[in-house]
Amino acid sequence: MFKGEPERIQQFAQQIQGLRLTRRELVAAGIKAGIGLSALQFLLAGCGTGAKPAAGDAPKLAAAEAGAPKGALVKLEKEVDFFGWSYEPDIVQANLDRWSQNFGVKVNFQHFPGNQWRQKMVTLFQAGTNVDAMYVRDDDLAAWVDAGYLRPLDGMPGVDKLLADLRPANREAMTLNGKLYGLPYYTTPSGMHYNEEHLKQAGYSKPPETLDELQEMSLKMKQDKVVEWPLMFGWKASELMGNEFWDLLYGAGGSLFDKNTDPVFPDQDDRIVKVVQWLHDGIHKHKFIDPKSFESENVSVAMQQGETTFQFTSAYVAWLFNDKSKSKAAGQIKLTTMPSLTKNDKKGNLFSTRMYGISPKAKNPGAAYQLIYYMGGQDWDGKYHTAKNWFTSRGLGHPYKPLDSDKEIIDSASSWLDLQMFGKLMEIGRVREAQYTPWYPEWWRFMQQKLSEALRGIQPVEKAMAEAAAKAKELKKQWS
Amino acid sequence: MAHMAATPPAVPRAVRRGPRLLTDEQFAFRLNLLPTLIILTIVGYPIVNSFYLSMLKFNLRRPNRIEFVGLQNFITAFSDKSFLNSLGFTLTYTAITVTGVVVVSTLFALLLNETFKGRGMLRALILLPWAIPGVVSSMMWQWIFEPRVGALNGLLYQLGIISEYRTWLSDPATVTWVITIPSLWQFTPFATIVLLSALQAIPGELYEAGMVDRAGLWQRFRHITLPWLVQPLVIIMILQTMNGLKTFDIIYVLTGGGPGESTMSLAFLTYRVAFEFLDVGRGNAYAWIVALMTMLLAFFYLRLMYSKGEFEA
Repeated sequence: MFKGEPERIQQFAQQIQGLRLTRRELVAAGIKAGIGLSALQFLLAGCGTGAKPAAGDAPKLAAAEAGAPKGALVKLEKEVDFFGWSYEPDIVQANLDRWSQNFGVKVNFQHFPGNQWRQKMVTLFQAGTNVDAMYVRDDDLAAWVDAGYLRPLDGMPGVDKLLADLRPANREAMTLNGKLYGLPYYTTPSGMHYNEEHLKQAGYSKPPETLDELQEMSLKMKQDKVVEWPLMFGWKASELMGNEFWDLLYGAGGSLFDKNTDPVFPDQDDRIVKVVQWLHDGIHKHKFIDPKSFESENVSVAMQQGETTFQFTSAYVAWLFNDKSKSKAAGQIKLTTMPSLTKNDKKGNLFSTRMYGISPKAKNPGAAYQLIYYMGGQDWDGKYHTAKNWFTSRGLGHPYKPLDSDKEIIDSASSWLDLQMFGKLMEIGRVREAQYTPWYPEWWRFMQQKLSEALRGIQPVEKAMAEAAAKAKELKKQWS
Repeated sequence: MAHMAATPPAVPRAVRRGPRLLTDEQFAFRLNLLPTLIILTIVGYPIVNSFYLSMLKFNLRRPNRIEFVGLQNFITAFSDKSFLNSLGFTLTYTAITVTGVVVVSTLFALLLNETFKGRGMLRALILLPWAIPGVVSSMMWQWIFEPRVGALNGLLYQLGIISEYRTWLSDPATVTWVITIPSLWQFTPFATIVLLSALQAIPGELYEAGMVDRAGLWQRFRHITLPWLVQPLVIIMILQTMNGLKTFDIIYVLTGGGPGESTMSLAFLTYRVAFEFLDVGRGNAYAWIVALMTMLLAFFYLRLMYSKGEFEA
């Protein structure tokens, strides 16, 4: 039983019908009653009473059929088809079960590996398989909107309330051409995680602020045999490889594209060249970056084992690094801003928002919207239950300002995350440039190859980056 | 006797089936028509549809914008740097694996044709690599080549052949050669068995006659054994060439086409274009190019085989 709602529905139903009902009948009656009240509220609002729905009414408002005129009676379908990638599916299922049991709607949840997500979903869309609601990556947003796979959510019941609580950057990340296409799953900035204990052993009391300082500290740690490879990456060729290049570029205050998504590198802005050259020299010349990075996919385990000192990755991974049951280095790993090229650079870092969306061809649009309202917003008590659950259980960042002062969030973070630093990283976070173009995924794959060639010394860094810029121009022209 | 009826002349056997008489051939044709149509539909429709798609500018990111471009996708492929790079790698990879399989399987077959203790068990064990699925085999080799804890590094280091562990799969100098090893390991057993059965069909008298004529080991191999192995060798070369041209699982698991795109095989590029970039038109064009290349090479091999003439027992 969940607190509050079922008992309230039962009392309400008994008052109306004077009957003892089954749980399903109670829930259904409660929804009908709530919808009736919502419809009445809309009518009254239309008559100028200005009554605002209470926080606990959010799910009833959300149950309004997507696209139906306000005040229309709602049909909450019996099931909903929901798709996601395979991150902690057990936790996802538990969240879904909670919603499902409360509303008596069956959720058919399917999940796929993250590195096949795009291919699988597009295949489903093209095959005409029913997709009611699904995860959406911010870097797929433009392509999926262009292809007609996503439904705008503007004006949907209850959305304005959520938007008021959202951080502006997250809201912007889910908006394209002025329309909102998703409700947030999680958000995360990236940053530099470092092992404080390693630095202390080498005689440093604070983390590096520039790449030169990082290099100096790394060489010192290597010399003092604190750690063999202070810096490791996961550069094995894969769709998910390479976010740290964006982090390093933004840390240096650099850009790859202008507002019109025309490349500004390597001629107008050569910071990507400098950053990649620094990495190249770190591997081949100064030898503080592990050359086995080219055959590694995920080096978080090395960080947990205390085998490396620095890692550039999402803030939420700090949860894993500081979990005593999983990490030998628990309690030693801190998060800070990305190092820059010079101390005068305007620092930044990568920032991502993953979201939930609805298909315009959903067979169960009412249930789909209500589901993502709960998963990406509030539950029937008006609480950000799912966002809070993700943060406290797995450290996934939340996008809602009211949760910043939530005691459970603060207590949960105390052992693994500096919330002030998290907030700072969110403030200076930047999305991947050009990710809102339909050609971005193909270009990024090409860029990965060029980065690999440059780092491996197969061709000079500047030439590789020039080829990547030329490819961006070519793809932009093809897609125009 | 004169009053006995003359034997009627032979006439084609006919059977009354329906209003007309059908010959056996016609009857067989009609019976097989429906299954043939079903098979042609199941096999033929995807092939025809694939060719049609290859003539479109069609990307699933813009599913509503389809344009017929004829052979443009094919023409553009041969001016695309990535495609040409993949073609070069694929041909090199195929040449190495074909040569390797032919040489190693011939040696294994010759060994297994000799009589020694444990020969039967060895013949059974040798088939194991072939029985393992490609992806499983690739993942096993991934661990063998692993730069930190891999068995290859460990063995070579212990033997003093290398002074430090190496990154075999990301070093441009070694990756092309190293990545052929899983393919050799997997396909040599089948080739060995095919050659072994051919060796066992060679009449023993030929070798006896050769020894009487004081033919040496190499002469017996060159003039007796090798001519008998020509046909099975050509078949193995055709099969291994096809395997080489369509190599995907080894590349996908071991290198992902890297470092850079130095191990990007044509099949892997086709997959990437069709399923990652969602460019259905270009992806199908690349697939057709691979298929046509395979058919062309098979035709070349078959002509080579038949030009050598037939051998009879």
